[in-house]
Amino acid sequence: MEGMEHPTPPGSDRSPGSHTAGPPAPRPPLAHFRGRLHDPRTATVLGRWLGLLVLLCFGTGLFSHLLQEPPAFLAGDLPTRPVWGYRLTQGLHVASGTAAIPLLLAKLWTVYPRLFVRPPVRGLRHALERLSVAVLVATALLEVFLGLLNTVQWYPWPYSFRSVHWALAWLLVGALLLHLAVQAPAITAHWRARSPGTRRLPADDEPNRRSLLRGVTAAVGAVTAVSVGQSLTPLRDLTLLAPRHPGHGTQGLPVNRTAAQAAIPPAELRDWRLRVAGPRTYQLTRVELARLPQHRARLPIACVEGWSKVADWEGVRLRDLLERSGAPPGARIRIVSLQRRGGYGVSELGESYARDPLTLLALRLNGEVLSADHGYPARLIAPNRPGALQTKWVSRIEVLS
Amino acid sequence: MTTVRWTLGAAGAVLLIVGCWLLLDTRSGTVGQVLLWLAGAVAVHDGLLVPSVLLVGLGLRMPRRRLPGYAFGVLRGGLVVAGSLTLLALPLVIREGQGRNPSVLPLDYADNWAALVAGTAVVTLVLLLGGGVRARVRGRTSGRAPRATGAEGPGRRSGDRAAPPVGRRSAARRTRSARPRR
Repeated sequence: MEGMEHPTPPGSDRSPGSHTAGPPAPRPPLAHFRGRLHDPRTATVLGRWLGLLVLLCFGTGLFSHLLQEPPAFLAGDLPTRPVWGYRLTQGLHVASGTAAIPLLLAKLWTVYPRLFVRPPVRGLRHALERLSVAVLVATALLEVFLGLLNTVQWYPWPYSFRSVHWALAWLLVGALLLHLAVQAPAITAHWRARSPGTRRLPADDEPNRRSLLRGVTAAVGAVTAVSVGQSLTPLRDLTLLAPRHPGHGTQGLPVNRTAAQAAIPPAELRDWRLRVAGPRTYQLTRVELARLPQHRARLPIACVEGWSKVADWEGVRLRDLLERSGAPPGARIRIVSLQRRGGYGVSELGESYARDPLTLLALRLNGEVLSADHGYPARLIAPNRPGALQTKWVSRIEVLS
Repeated sequence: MTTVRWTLGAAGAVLLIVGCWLLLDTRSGTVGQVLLWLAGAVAVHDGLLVPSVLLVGLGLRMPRRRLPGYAFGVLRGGLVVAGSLTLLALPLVIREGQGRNPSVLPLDYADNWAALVAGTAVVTLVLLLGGGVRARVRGRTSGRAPRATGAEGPGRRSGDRAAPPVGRRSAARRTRSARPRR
């Protein structure tokens, strides 16, 4: 913190010799930063935007995690409205992570000279402070990197993306809060252009600072504009650097896992029957399913990787199928897929989803029979639910106790 | 203030503990791998990315001294935008054509990236020229040189141009810091 309160770069006046007249202290080899804007006002202005993005990313990530792995007491009451809720939150999650790239790098550039502060450690408190900053920097960099590569479905690391992205998020936000606590005096001293700390900085840095901030703002705008169209479909024509595009995919919808990727056995498709296992177990062929009352729902499919698109679904209400099996109210429902390869072959629905009139076992998509890649013969589609849990190639519905 | 700080700090510590616990709760071997990747992320950033940016900054010294502050800011902004777009494009370009199915990575990312960088260059140039024209018009109407400061408008940054050469400045600072503090 002390290093940040001086307009001069750290290292220039931190040397042991600065307290006594005498031979000039040897300058550390790398610690001399003559460039401007490595100052606490710039760090504060960049930091508050970055902090907001990190908190937004964390909040939306928590919500996503909650929908995917709800604690038992919540599992039956997960919200199904608004139907576009998860589309919005997960779109924001990926967009805020993307927008954080220029901000994070600019922020770290601003404080980079502090890496070389002398002496490196001034005591236990200072050591702990530096350790928490190291955790903050390392987790922020890796978290953004992991998230970005996950949207591309590229996993060059040996560990599980999900569990590590989840754990690092807590470490990142924990280190961030600790950082805010430690830096609170410096932050308040530089919060405004007229704050006391800001006024001690060289006044002619201010136009330069504003100009840098405009540049970073432009960069945030640019990376957002060219990627957010993968979920904000009105901006689809600007979508130049997103891993998905609303215009690419069979039946007007992108595909995450194809039938071939999921290793759907063709033999089981030929004599497919939906089996509903409950108090009154029964089976239906696809023709019989199509004869039951059909309902339409206009619902988005929203992937954890950030892309989403609205589609017209048509099929049988899940609650009709459950009533026919005599499922008791409040029962948890398990949906089992034919898929042989990859995760998410089984998903569970709490009561709020199971009884929602918009939750369908869909047979048709955008006016056509479901294609193999979208889950033929039948797939689940429910409102406000992560795409990974909208189970495709459904073969069995089980009523759990 | 103190209460806020302690609350923030305590909340941060709790979240850190939760994070550690979640990390330890992963399958065996993960902790070591993640620590390695965390260190790697810092090493690449602090040892490669920032030094390259600082080198570019050194390269910009000449235009910085010659250009008015507005124009230098536009030039730097253009580089920041192009650099950010490049970082965003990198994984897409590297993985182009390797999507797991045709709807994953369906675009021509190398071309899109090139077009965006070219577009950024054009916008930067237009802003540079527009700023120059505005500065000249302003200089003519007011009958003197473009205004020295001013937060928004174009103009020369007097501070930057009037600053003594770097060597002298740091020498001055050394003598100052050698004096005993009061």
